[in-house]
Amino acid sequence: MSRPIEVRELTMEYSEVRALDNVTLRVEKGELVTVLGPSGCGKSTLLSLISGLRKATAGQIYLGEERIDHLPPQQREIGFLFQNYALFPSMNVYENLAFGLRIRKYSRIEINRQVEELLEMLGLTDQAHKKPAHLSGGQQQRVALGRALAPKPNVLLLDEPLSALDVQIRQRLREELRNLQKNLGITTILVTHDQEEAFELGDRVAVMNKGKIEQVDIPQRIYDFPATEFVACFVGNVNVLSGVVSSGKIYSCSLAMDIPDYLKGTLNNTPVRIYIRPENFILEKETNATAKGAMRGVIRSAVFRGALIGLDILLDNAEVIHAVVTKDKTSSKGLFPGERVVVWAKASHVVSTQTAPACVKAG
Amino acid sequence: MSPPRKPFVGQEPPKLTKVLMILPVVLYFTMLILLPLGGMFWGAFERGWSAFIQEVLKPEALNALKLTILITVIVTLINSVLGVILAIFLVRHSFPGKSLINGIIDLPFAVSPVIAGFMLIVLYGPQGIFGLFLGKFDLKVVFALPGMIIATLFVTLPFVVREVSLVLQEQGTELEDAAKTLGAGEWTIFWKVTLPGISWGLLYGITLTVARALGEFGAVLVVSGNIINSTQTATLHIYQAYVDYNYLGAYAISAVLGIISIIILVGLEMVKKKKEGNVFEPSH
Ligand SMILES: Nc1ncnc2c1ncn2[C@@H]1O[C@H](COP(=O)(O)OP(=O)(O)OP(=O)(O)O)[C@@H](O)[C@H]1O
Ligand SMILES: [Mg+2]
Repeated sequence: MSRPIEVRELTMEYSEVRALDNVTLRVEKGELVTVLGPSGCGKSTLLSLISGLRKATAGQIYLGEERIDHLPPQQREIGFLFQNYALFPSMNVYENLAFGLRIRKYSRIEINRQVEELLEMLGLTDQAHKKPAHLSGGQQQRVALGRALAPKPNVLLLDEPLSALDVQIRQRLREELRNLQKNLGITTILVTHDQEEAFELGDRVAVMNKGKIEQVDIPQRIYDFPATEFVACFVGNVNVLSGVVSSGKIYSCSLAMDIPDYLKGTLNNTPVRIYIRPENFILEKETNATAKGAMRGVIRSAVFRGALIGLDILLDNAEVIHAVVTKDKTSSKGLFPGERVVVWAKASHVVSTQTAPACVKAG
Repeated sequence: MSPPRKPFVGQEPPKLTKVLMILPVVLYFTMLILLPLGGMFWGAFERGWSAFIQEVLKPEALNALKLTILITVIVTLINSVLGVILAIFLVRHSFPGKSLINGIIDLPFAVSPVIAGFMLIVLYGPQGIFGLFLGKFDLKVVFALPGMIIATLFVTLPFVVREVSLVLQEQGTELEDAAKTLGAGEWTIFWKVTLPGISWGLLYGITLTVARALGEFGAVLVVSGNIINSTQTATLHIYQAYVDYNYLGAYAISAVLGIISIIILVGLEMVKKKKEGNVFEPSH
């Protein structure tokens, strides 16, 4: 039955590429951790090592307390859902679902009972005798899921399980997947490059970049407290402002912010990049007598997004920032395109002194 | 100034253009395949059924046909099994010397069968390295069945390997990986996953192997010594009959080989139809 899975200091080198670099991750019993990262960051490689389809260059893998990295995939009892499902084309739905059970030499009656149960659970009873080629994408996905779950694995690995599907059914299957996983209480790692999917499905999210896990945390904290520059700009929208360190503070224009602990001791005049989420700006009209602010500029455009309004502001130093404010505030404060405003920031998310940005993304 | 005319071609009856396009194809096909085939059958049955049957039932003709079928069956079995194993090794595994072997497999396509036959004589002939050794045990390879089988194995080696390699490559490793994560061992994976995936390529490779083995002439001519009633295959018999001005005999055995080939091709076509029918069967 379901057990925790843990990888320690896992490294994988293909002939030239280091696809995984010292990755450590623990997923508790019954927990769903999503691994989020851009294409090529090593997500599939991580899953192939856990499943045993590839051998790691270095590191250990534990299933519960048992070390399993010397075991072949056949002995790990880890279910794997492949990105393109990899259904056996010559077998019908029933035979695909029964494959793992037949290998375990269950009796005919037992296999039949379990497969019928799976068909029922996945709503595939009517499709039992169809070949995979005759199924819709969503049905194929369910068969692949059912096939992986049939032998009651210790852990379930899902490699981009929804990315081959239409946007419309993706949302529905996402909820189904979530419910199924919770009902079965199966330890699950789901890999995706879709941020919304990662946040909606994951009890915790592991953000990966270039073979490294940069942060593992609950979705809310990943968003509010990104640990690295990469996480800040890969997850959610973010503004990047250039600033400078000066006597224990950071300045961008005359916006002064407290210097974060990890940069204490940085020399004066060191240039920095400051990451600020769009909803963390405070705006006032410049004509407002009580307005106090650091940066000044003009509202270039406003985009209506339901309860929120997105504002593009051209600062006087020619930088452009993107702010999000509630609809009520725009009307009560008179924040309309063409108005001059002063801008203040509630909090910065990450400050970096590195010369090259971790990622380039429009604010 | 007159109003622009409608395009001329569009108003031509489409039938004529179609006929004009198809005609050369039909002509070419007729000249190259239908006429010679018809000529052969006409030659075989020119003097009636009984004369045809008589030619086929001549002991040396029957022996030649039996020998050809024996060689074909043995060669097809060996090269199918070895071909699949070789293809799996070449596509799924990496080992030192892999590209060398990969190149060598195509050698029979590049080397004339006659040269292949001579290579065998050099090795296994009475003066050859292996020949001298095997001679001590009274084992004869050249001018005997083993040599002819080896020669035919050589010329038909690439067919199954190449056809199966192609579909294996296309199939990728994902299905096999999926089977592994479900607990399947190598043997189960081969029979339940790999083989169904390559069956079509394998069948095609086998067909080509059979056709080639039935029709092989050059390599077999060199290694067999063409001994009547002993090492004379059907193609050698046809050639012999032709040289001896026994045209009816040559035509008759040619017709038999031709009929076997046609049966195989039609059989393949039927399997293909059935398989396609399966794929496109309406979902209910
Ligand atoms: N078999 C291989 N041989 C050599 N390099 C490989 C191999 N498989 C993957 N890589 C490389 O390793 C890195 C990570 O690949 P991986 O497939 O794990 O990424 P991914 O995060 O799953 O990407 P995607 O979102 O595109 O599926 C990439 O740079 C890739 O080119
Ligand atoms: Mg991948």
